[in-house]
Amino acid sequence: MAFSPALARLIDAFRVLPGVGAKSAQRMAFHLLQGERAGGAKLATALAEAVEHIQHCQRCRMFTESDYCEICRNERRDATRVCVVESPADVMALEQNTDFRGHYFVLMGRLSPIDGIGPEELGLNILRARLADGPVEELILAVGATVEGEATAQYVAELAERYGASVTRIAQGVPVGGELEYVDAGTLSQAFSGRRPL
Amino acid sequence: MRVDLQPALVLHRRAWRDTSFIVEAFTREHGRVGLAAKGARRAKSRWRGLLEPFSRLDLSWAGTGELYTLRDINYVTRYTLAGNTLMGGLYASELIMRLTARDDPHPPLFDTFEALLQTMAGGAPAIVALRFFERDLLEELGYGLTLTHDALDAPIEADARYRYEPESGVWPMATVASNEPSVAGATLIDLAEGRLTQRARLREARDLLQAALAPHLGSKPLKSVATLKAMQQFADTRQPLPRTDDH
Ligand SMILES: [Zn+2]
Repeated sequence: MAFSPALARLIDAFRVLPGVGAKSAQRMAFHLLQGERAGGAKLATALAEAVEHIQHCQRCRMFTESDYCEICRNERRDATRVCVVESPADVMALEQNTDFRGHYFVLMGRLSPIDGIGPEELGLNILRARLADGPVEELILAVGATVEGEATAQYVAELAERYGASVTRIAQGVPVGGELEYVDAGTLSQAFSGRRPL
Repeated sequence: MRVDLQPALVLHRRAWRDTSFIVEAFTREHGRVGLAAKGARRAKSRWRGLLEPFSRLDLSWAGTGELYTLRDINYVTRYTLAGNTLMGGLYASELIMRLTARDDPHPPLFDTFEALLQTMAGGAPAIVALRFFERDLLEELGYGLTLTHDALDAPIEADARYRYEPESGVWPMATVASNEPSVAGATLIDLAEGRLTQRARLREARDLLQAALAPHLGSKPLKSVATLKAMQQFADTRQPLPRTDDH
C-alpha cells in the first residue's frame, strides 16, 4: 500500500534523524497524527525556528540564536579559563558533571589531515583571535583520547603557548578511542579534576 | 570469503551510521580491506578504542563485495606517535590508501609500513624515516628508483649532479643552472644505503621522492599534505587582531 504524498513526505523527513529507519519513522508519523497533533504543531514550529535562527556563537562556536551564547555572556563566569571541546554535546556533559565555570571553545570536529579537516574547518582563527585579544590564563584541552584528538591537542597547545596561555589536558578516565559525549558522569568528573600541564 | 586472525595495521576509520565504524585496514596477506565494524562506537562495545590508527591487530572478517564485516579483533599493540611522527604516520597511511588497490596483497609493503611505525614510535625523526618508506613503497609497487646507476647505466658518482626523469631515471648533468632541480650523486648513494643525515641531502631526497611519487598520485594532491600545509601556514600567520580594550 502506498502512503498519501504528505504522509510519505513526513515519514521520509523523520529519517534524517540518527537511528531512525523506515519503521521508526512510520511509527513517529502515525503517533503524531493519531493523538498528538498539538505536539506535532509545536514540533514543527520549534524546528522551523531552530533551523532558521540558531547559529554559532561568535566567541565559542556553541549553538545560539544570539551573537554570543549564554555562557559567553555570563559575566560571572571566568573568561581567563577556556575549555576546548570537540562538540556541543561535550559542553553539556562538562556543564552537568563538573564544577567548571569558565568559558568554552567548541571545535565542531577534530584535526584530521587525511579527511582534510584542518585549522580553518575547526574555527581556530576565532580561538587565536581570542588568545591574542584577551587574557586567557589556562586553556584546558578536553578532547577525546583518539589519534585525531591527540593531533588536535598538540596543535592547539602549541598555538596557545605562543600567546602565553598555560595549557592543561584532562587526564585519566577517558578511555582510549573514547568520545567525551559517551563517557559516564563519574569518569568524566574525575578526568576533569585530574587535568595536568602538558 | 572468510578470513581468520589476519595481521593488520589500521590506516583509517570513520564513523558510519550511529554506532559503527568503517575501517580501512592494511593486512599482510590480503592487502588493503574495507571493514564494517558494527556497533564498535557503542559505549559498551568490546571493540571500543581498539580500532585507532597505527594499531597492530589480528583481524577476522567475512563477506563479499567492497566492504567486509569485521567479526573479531585480537589486539597486538599500538604504535604511539606524537608531533611530527604522528603527522608522518597519517601521511604514510594516506599514501598506502591512495597507491594500493583493495584486496591486492603486498606482504613486503606491510612489513615496511610496520617497520616505519616502529622506528617512528621509537623516536626516529619522521623526516628521515619517511624518505626510506617512500623509497621502499615505490620499489614494492613496481615503480622503484634506480639509485646506483644513471640512465646510461654508469655507476652514480658522489660528486656529480643528476637530473631526474620519471620514465628513465637519473641523468648526469654537465652543467647545472641554479634554478634547475637537480640531485647530488651523494644523495642518491645515501638514499640507496639508508643513511640520510645531512640537511641539504634530506631536502634533495624529499624533492626527488616527491617527483617520483607525483605521476602515481595524479592530479589530486594528498589530503594530508594539503592539510599539513594549511596547518603550517596557519601556525606561521601573525595574530589577526591587534590588542584592543574596547570590549
Ligand atoms: Zn559562546
